[in-house]
Amino acid sequence: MNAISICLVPWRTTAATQRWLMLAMLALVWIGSAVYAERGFGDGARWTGAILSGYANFLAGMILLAPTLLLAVDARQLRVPRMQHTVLPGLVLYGAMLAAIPTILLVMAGGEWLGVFAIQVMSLTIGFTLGMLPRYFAALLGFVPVLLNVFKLHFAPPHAGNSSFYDIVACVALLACVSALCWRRQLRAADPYQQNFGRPLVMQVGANRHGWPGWFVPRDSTRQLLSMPAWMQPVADVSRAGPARVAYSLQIALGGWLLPVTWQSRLMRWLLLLIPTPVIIYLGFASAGWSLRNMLHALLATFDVWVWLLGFVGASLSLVVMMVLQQRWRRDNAELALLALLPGLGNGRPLVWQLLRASMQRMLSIQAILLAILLAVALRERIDALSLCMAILSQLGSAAIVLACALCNFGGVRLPGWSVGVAAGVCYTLLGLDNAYMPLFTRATEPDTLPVLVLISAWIALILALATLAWHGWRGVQRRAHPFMPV
Amino acid sequence: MNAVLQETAKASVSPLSAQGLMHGFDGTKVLDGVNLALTPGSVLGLIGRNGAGKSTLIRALLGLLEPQGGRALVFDEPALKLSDDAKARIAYVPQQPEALAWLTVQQMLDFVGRFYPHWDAEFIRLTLERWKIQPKRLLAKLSPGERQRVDLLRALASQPELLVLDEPAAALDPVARRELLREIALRAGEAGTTVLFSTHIVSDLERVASEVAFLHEGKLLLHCDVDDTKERYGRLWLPAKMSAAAPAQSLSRRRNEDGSLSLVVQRDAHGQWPEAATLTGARVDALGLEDLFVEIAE
Repeated sequence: MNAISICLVPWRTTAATQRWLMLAMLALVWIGSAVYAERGFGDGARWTGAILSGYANFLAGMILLAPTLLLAVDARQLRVPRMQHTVLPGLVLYGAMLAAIPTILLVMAGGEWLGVFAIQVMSLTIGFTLGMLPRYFAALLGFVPVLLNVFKLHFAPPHAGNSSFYDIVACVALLACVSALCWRRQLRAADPYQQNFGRPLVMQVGANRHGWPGWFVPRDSTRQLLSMPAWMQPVADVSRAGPARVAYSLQIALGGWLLPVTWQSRLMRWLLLLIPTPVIIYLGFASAGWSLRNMLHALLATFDVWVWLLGFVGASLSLVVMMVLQQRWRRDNAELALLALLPGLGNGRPLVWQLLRASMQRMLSIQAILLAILLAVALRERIDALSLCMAILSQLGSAAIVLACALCNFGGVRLPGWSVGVAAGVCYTLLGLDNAYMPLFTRATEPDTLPVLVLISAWIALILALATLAWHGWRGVQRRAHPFMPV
Repeated sequence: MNAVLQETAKASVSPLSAQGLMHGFDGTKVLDGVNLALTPGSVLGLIGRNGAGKSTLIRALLGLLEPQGGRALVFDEPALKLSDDAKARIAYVPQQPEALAWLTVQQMLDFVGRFYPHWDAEFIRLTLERWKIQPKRLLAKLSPGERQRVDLLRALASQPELLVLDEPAAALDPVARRELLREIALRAGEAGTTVLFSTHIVSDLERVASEVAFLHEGKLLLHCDVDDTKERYGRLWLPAKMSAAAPAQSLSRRRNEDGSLSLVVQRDAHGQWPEAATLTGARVDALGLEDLFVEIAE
């Protein structure tokens, strides 16, 4: 063990892009928080700065520190001499640095060092612990806004010696124990690489081993199946497959979200969705001051907001289908080879039409229902024509993503692996901006015309770009002898 | 009468043939003008080193990729535009079957079986029992060997006239391998199934193949009956001083450390070795299939 080996730990556990992007993000947030703390108004600004830095440290704990477990596991499994002993000191060293740097900056901006330091350490520990826990704990991230909302009522800034400070110390100690237990269990497992439902999040994403290890690269559906317990696995309904129902049969062959499942399996999916309901109700009650009337009032007041969020559901469905198609058309010897030689599927344009039906029918049906709900609410609220246009364009844009992706795959036009990520980024950004300027959100009587027009133009530009891509795909389809060849 | 003629014509058509197949990846030539035709009812073992292009050739022959040059025919139809009738007569098992991992063994076989007119469900039931594969297990959770066996089962149950297997024994244990080879021999002998299988295990090939084809660096170096190889090919050894007399045509040529030459040569149409073999000091050694493969591939 020497100092250089310890310093090199993050270089051995993270990919270059991941490392530099995280460092750039950390630097920006730390400096931004310090500037805000110094120039903002009063004590509140300093604590807000500390919490902002803490959020960045939470991500650093999960994305930079948690992958040290991968190195520890590899070092132990490969019996690499001395490397095992460098991992923990490296983790402590970089953890201390990540907590110390924003603390120094915020103290220079006038913050109280002990309180600021406590927030940074807690954030790092939460992020690190989340990386050590199985991936379903990541669902907790969805509750963060509500949790913050609940806790801010009871939260006092952690000064030296006050109860908030000791709460944080206790929280850090508890999380450190949980992390240590998970670390030890994974390190000493008979097969630490085994795919199972309980393996740490960081082992799941690390196992992808793509350029940007796993965090933003969709997981292959076979891997997902391996890590699922038997009772959660979808049960396909093959009883209606056959040459008489080509689109249905193709959906079985494409699998993933497109797989037709039995009614029992569908029921199980819905039941799984209900699991977080008690938590949501609890948090809703807590934020409404434990009053049912207040909670119902809050739900009714934000009903329109929930409806607008359906736009995100539509876009997410498109991205899921896009991901399934990308995965199928990249594997040489899997479904494509089988489908290419399966009699009874037909040839030429009818086959492409059936493929499009298989890929898009279910998604378009759900998006149509979402759009209908959206329009009904919009009409009830008498929102203006421009906003309505924006809402319709957003659904069209989401559907166009799948059409373009499907035709590109069938026609042999290769889309880069990161295209799902880019599509998701563009789509969610535009939807987010849509929502920000919707009259239902802003409650403005007159919408701000210019930003809405800009957004409409952006959606039209996106749809045109996707249409061009789809056209290239279609030309490829006409050129190719059959669509079941990898891209 | 017409029906009889049609049947006769159908039987004489090569189930699988290629003319001048060319293909490459990232600027590297993988197939370099391959010509091949399978005789109906034959078992052709396609042999070559790792990366020789066996899988690419098989994929091009079946229309699973678009070759950069040449053409492939399956039952006299262009491989890239097969009719449903032709597809129903073919079965293909890839090297590492990965398809439909989200289905159970039974679901996959049930699903695929719905598309084939001569699906043998009874054969599946009996073989699954004999191979001790649980029908309710998810394909994703099977070992590579079990996965390969299930895919072989899928291929055999469709009762194909042309069976194409890409390294079928790669993941199988010796018992399963022996059983597979027996099944191939049985299908070819009794049902007249034409079989093409790629391998680099020469003993497998000797056990069941009636013909052998050597693929080396994208070229088909030889294609002949397995029984003929010993008679037809040999290693010609020429001492250093005679190396100028070496024949221009040979399958491989290697200069030894002492300056002598080793060449793989074949008899001509009259059954004669090249003239250099008759020189004093020259020697022709018989080559077994494995030695022939190593000599050519080295």
